[in-house]
Amino acid sequence: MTSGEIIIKGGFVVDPTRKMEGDITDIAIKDGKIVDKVSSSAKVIDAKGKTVMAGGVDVHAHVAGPKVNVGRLFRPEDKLLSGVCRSAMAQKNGARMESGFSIPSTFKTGYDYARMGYAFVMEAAMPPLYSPHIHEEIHDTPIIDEGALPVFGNNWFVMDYLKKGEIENTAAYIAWLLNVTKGFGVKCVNPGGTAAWGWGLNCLSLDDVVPYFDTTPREIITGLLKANEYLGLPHSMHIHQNNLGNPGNYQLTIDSLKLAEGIKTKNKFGREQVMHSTHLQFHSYGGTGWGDFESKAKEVMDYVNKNKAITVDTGNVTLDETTTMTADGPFEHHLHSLNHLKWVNVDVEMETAAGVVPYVYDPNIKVCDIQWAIGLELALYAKDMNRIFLTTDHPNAGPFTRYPRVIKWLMSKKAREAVLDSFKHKDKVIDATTLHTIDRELTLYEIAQMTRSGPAKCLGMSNIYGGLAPGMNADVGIFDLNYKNMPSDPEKIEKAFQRAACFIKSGEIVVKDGEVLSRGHKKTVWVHVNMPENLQVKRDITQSFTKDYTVSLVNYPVRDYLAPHPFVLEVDVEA
Amino acid sequence: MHAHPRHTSRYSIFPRGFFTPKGQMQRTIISIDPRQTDTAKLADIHLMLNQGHDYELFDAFRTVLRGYDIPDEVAGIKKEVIVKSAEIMKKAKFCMIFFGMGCTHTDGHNHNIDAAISLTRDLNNHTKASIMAMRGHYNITGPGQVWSWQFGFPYCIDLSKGTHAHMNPGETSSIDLAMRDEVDCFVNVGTDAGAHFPIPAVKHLKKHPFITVDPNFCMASEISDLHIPVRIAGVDEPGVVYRMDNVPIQFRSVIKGLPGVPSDEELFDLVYERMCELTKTEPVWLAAKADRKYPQNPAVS
Ligand SMILES: [Zn+2]
Repeated sequence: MTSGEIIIKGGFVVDPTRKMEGDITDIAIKDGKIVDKVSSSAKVIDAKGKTVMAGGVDVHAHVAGPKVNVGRLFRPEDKLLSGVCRSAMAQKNGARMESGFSIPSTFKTGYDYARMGYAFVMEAAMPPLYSPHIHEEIHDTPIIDEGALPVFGNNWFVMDYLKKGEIENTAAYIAWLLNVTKGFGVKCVNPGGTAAWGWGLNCLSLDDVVPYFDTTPREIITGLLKANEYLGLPHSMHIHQNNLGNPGNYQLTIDSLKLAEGIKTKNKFGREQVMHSTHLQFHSYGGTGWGDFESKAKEVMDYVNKNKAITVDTGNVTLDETTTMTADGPFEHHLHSLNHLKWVNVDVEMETAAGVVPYVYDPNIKVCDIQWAIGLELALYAKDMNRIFLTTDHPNAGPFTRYPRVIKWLMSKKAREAVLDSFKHKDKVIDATTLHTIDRELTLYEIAQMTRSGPAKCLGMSNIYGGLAPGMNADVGIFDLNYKNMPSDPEKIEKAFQRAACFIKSGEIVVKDGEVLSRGHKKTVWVHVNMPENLQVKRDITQSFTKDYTVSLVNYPVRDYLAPHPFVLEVDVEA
Repeated sequence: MHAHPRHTSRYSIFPRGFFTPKGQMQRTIISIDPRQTDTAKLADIHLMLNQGHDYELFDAFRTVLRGYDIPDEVAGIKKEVIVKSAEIMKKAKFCMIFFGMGCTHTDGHNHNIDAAISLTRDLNNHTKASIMAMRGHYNITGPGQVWSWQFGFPYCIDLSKGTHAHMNPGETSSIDLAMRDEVDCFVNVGTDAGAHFPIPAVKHLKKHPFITVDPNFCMASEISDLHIPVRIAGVDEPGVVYRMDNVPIQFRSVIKGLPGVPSDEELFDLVYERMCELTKTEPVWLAAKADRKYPQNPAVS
């Protein structure tokens, strides 16, 4: 945190938290926070003719941890697409080498997010046993603030408690695990399905019974929703649904979303939803096979628009060669049998599993193009832009460095049509989608909702990130876009968001004209739950570690020195 | 049994698992080794194949699994035994293949493992199967992880270009560099190049300054121009060690280190600081160290 005062003068401020739609106003910064005013000695940044927004907030990306690192390790070819060489100037500034495209090194991850003006990124799937590894990587990722969501949807403790309907015990276990892993919230990946994968099986409907554990995806989802609200966590339950990526899965998607009905939100963090459904693109498919594969984005969004208890993110396909990775172990095996590229599988004792497979979203393949259209349709059919967020499920549908390209497509029908026209199977794509009928072009204000105010609120941090009100973190991006005179060439939109003209993180200028100047003041954000001791759960944990785990209980909690820049959200649960 | 003394008791053969409460009684062990080792003696089936014929044997398993016929004998093993073994793997609830240097450092090298990985993949169409390398040297997995997240490569990393990292085993390994005489200073950290490198490589390296950073005396330290002793992670220094299956284990220090002996991290910080002094650059990455000060007795919550 630098105490230096900064004033950003004369820019078009786009800040949905204060309903500012390109108002020309100054932004003052002091001690790492936005303030009302600064002294006359403040450093002046001229933003005249440019757009000023809060730092971006990414609600879901795979940026640190064992499966990301497997991706880096088993794909040396990804380094050929890095696209950057450290310049002599960068070397002199103390910048580290950067490598990788779809699975960038930790340094490149931090730098690339900063260049795009992003301030906070949520690592979307932390296998608890590996949490020290995730925190080591987060520590080596410069500039950006990060949190990580431990996975609970196939955890043996959770399934055991939920089978017996024990919400309170589930909540106590979640609280303990968040505390010891320095985790942020409750992630649930293919509930029951990943556990079934232990036997080489899967759960493809809400009522498929998980082998041995004798519970169902429906029970797990409902139980985790209730446990999350019992604790009153900042973020809601965050789900990657069952049957991801298969034709005809949209009905299951809507049925799963409906499980949020009747569950009331309870928290002190300003969060309104009880369920966040991630990378919806992969879950909005119609058809009975790849032949009649089609978009059901409209049907899914019609439901999402109606139910205020739900937030979603898009998971846009960007038509790149990328690397898929998920705790959905059975899905990666399935994907590998489709594309026959290399495959890594890991089973994590008592907790979860993961798989990694490279994937090429080839614009010459009809299915990939339909996926591309579905991701865009979701955002364009959305009514409340504060409940739908921009992601690529990095790196699953594309690398996060393509967000500016997705923004371009969302803001320009012309840009979308150019892509559509370039498809080999254009007619078939048009038959299976409705994107070509949509005239809507999102505004900068709506983009700011999708990438700033919306995700910050969804994570329960709307008073810290995603806005420019006094008291909030001084994370400010300045983009070379004239709000009153937007460029007719959509490429200029992509370019502006790819390389911020200036990015201030925690009150320090970290990027200027796309060049990284500093390693910043990164923070690791996690949630600490204070609640009365639950003797039953305590005994269960002790017993299980003595008998079943290969790691002893004393060595399990992430030690403080591994996360040396903590920003801890305290949650108090009354008995 | 001998290369990894704790492996059979803690992880592979004897332990009682959640779904295998009877331990070894509920497991079938197949040992593939041309020698009659103690591990082979423990096994239910010992496939005593002809030395250097690993590839054929794995290929035969795959052929059988896919429902095709094989010759009466492959790699010195009778067809019936191969078929029976393949059947055991296929019918197992969970099949785990461990492999070591006997497989990777004989004729065929990586191709042997290619075949074994392909076998693992094929087995997953019938049951659950996995394969894991039995690696040596304590925390060998650790640098592989750290270098992967920092540079995208696990070893043989060439940083000399300054602009980007480059990896090409056969060109950029330390032995390659030594044999081509491209090195004018050699720093040997946490390994014993004296014992493990080919003699010609060591001879090249010895023409120039030869530095060893190691807690112990070893063959490399004996021939070094400079030997810097350091503390040992897990003995007199806490730290994260990555287990062979990539699980990070947070080691504690069990004894107090000798005064004046630095940890690896402290030593490299000192070297880096001095280098920055000489090159008149700002030691910005020291801060990364400063805020990671290890507590003397890390609290366990
Ligand atoms: Zn994801």
